[in-house]
Amino acid sequence: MKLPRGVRRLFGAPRSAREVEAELEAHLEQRVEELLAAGVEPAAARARAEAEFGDLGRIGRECDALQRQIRRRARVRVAAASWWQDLRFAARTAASRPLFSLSVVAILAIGIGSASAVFAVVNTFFFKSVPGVHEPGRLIEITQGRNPDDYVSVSYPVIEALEEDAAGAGGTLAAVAGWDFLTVAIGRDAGGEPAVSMAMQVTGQYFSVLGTRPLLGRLLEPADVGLEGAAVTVLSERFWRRELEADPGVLGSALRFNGVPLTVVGVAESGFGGHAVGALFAAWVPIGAPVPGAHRAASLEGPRNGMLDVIARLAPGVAPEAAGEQVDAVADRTVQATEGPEAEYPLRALRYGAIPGPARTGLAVFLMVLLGIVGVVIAIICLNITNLQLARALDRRAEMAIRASLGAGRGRLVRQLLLETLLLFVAGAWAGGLLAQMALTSVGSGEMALPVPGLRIALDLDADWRVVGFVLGLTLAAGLLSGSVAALQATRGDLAAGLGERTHRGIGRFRLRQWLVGSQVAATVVLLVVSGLFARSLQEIGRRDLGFRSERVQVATVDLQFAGLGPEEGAVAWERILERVRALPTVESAALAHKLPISSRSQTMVAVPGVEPPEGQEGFVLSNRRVSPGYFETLSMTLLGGRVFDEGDRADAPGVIILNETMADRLWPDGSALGRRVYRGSVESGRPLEVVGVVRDGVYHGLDEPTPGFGFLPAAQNYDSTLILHLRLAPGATLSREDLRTALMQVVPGLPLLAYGSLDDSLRANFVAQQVAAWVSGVMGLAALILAAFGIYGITSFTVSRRTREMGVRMALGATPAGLRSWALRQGLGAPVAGLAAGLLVAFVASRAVAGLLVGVSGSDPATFLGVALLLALLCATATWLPTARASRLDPATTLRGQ
Amino acid sequence: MSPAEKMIPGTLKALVLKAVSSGPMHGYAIVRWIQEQTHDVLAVEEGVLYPTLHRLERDELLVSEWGVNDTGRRAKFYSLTEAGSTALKHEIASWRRRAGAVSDLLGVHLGDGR
Repeated sequence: MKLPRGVRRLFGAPRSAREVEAELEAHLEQRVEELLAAGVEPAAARARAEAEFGDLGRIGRECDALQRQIRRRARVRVAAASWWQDLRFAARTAASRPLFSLSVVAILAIGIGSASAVFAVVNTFFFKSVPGVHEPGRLIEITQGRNPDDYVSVSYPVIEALEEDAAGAGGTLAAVAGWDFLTVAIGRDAGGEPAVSMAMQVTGQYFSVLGTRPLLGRLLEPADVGLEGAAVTVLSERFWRRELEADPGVLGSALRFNGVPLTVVGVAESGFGGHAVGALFAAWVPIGAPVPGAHRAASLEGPRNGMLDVIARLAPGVAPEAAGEQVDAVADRTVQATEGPEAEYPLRALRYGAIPGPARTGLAVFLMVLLGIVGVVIAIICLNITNLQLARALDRRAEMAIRASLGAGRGRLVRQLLLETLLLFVAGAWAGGLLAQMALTSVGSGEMALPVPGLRIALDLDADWRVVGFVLGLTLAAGLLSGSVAALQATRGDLAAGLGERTHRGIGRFRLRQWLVGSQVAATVVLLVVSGLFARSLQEIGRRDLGFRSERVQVATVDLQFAGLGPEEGAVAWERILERVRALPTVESAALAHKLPISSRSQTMVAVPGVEPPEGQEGFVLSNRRVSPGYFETLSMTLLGGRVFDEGDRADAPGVIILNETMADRLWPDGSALGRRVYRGSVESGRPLEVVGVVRDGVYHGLDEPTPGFGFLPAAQNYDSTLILHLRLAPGATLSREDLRTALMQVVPGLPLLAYGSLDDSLRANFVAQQVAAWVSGVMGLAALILAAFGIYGITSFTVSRRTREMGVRMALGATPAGLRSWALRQGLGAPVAGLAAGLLVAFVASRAVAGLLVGVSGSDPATFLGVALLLALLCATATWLPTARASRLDPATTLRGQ
Repeated sequence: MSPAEKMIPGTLKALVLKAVSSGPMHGYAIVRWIQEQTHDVLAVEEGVLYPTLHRLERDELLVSEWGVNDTGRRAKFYSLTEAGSTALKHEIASWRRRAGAVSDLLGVHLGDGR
């Protein structure tokens, strides 16, 4: 008697259902028998038994569900036990050959460690959000200029127009703000040296745009900004803790900014230092605040004065792409109102990025190159490990065969071998993580100086979930790839048949190993070529004639506005500063300039009577630098004709200019530059400047561009409140910061010193990217070279040992030792040579990618390619020679017998 | 069979564990055992018993094995595990506490040395 058909249909095939059905059925049958024994009719007995039981269907289903749970738990238990067993086996195997395991783990630690370090840096710059900036996806930056490389500031009236637009309903922007740097000396009271810091001056909506919250007090508001801006400031938490001991009583009190008291109204959110990555701004000051050196709202009027960088928050529902057009329309309307209907003011909007605009592409390329280098190294490491595992796999075929005969399926064997490799990879990743942590802490723990004097950043390089995820993903992917090749090979074919006979079926595996070695060599070639290119680049940088000499030159930035000096007193102060500094015993010569010898552009337009400007332009664009008398001597720049500036070139004297060769030749190819005139602006209304001297060309902005036309103007005729003091010291002499500061204080009391250091250090900061890239690729290249050498040696030994029988036969048939050697060499060299050729090809292509970072060296520099090719050829030859030389000394009789 | 009292809620687990403690039993045998041991005072509903048996097996208080019952049929026998034996002790202790509390409340003296 069976369960009602309906119930059985519900169960169908599953085993657990059948079991439950059988169990319940057994119960029913026993009850029926009991009833039958008591004399009940069979049909009635069955019916009664079922009725007594209850809702068979429901009970059956309930028990079935529970039964399924029981089975599932049992399955999980069995699976876990088998995994645990395999894991223990893998660990035992690894421990049984400690040298091999440790060296693999060490190599992996270096590879994965470097990858995670580089990724942590990439993460910090590109993925991590900047503290205090909320919903960065809704932020945009607005710049002037149509070209993607233009990052020109936006004028204040346009910003005001954008603010109005944002205030209205249906605007593109929810809030918009302009900002600029401000170097200030912040002090508690009139005495003592104030702390020189970088601050930001901002328009009213800055904090609304970012969504920053105050830690104490309040943040700046639109009411603080204006022609008579409020004398208030908001401090950063870092400054508040470091300089004011986190004293909450500072709220409402005044701090002196460049001598002027501002009331502290608040402290910004913890960790906030500005909206760029690593920014360390000490304070925020509203536009219009009466701080010497800050923007005055009045001076910002005038539609064409580019003054502030702009960051804005999009209104809800507005797409970033749409914002650009609308913002441009608002700007054009504003400018047309003052300049006429045709006036254009090209604005565009870009997505906000934590890295400042001008640095974005360069940094991205640099980091991608680093990642690429590290990626290649990891590929090499994986190839190497795969090769090593493969070599062992052959030796373990006997072991595998035994386990197969004991019932292990191929899947299980593969899993066991994979676990062995994964274990090594995980250990290597863990060790690598520690190494990366140490390296990053030593690099990123402090503050880093940027090429802009006074600007520092502090990078938070801690690993977050992205870095951990990256390392885990990389480890698993590499480990699985690397391990599966060997695992599959080791368990291939009829394992049982392999027991008890020497396998000659090694051909397939041999070819695979040849491929691996060839790939390794190719990858090593690529790495070494890249490394070589960077090294040559650095060499070129060292050799280039910069047009000046930087030995023994110290530079210091001095800002007269800290002492509250205006243009007239300032001009006098500069003269007296030079006089005083030149009187110092260790100073050989001194001069002032408004920029460092290699720096960003400072451009002006000049018109030249009788000389046609280039197509489409109204005059000649002239990069220039304002310098004091003594500049050319201090920097040992060569004068080709005429004279240098002297005391006679005062503000009230006729205007003068000194040009470089390139500019002089461009304007007057006949060489008659001296005595000619150029006009600042236009010929009719511009100031005339007489060319009094021509200097040899140099490098002004960067090493990778053609020499521009350059002009030097006398500082006395073009007043700056901030200049850089250049001091050439006597040989062997030093000048301490305190001594210099004391000397300056004697001329101008209360004058703080900014950024004092050697010129060489400042210049070197320009080439950090090349140096790091060269160093990293060099170290990696060396590691790869060693790995490749071992790889080639390994496969050649393998060849030789596996084919000793063949060699014995050949010798018996009359082959000479020399003939044998050449045969073995040809066998062993095939793969590496192919790899070398392929590698050179790939390197040629890869060098295109790094060409942008190179200086003075082309991507296809023949010296580098030739050098690497020779080096690797030598390596391959040596690594192949050694085992074959040994093998050729065999006695044929022994080898043949030894089978 | 005279109508049995309703099963006291929460006691089935204890009864089953106790039944099985003396040796492996199948479901039908457990029903009969409880009936006999309580002199027909308590009767287990099969609809409640079998799910309980499977639940106790899932929770690893019982293990099951297919065997042959006294009528020669295949049946599923349940026996006590170590954990089940411990659970039985806890159930007994818990019963003592609860039953004692109720008895005190009702002013009834329990004959079993309490």
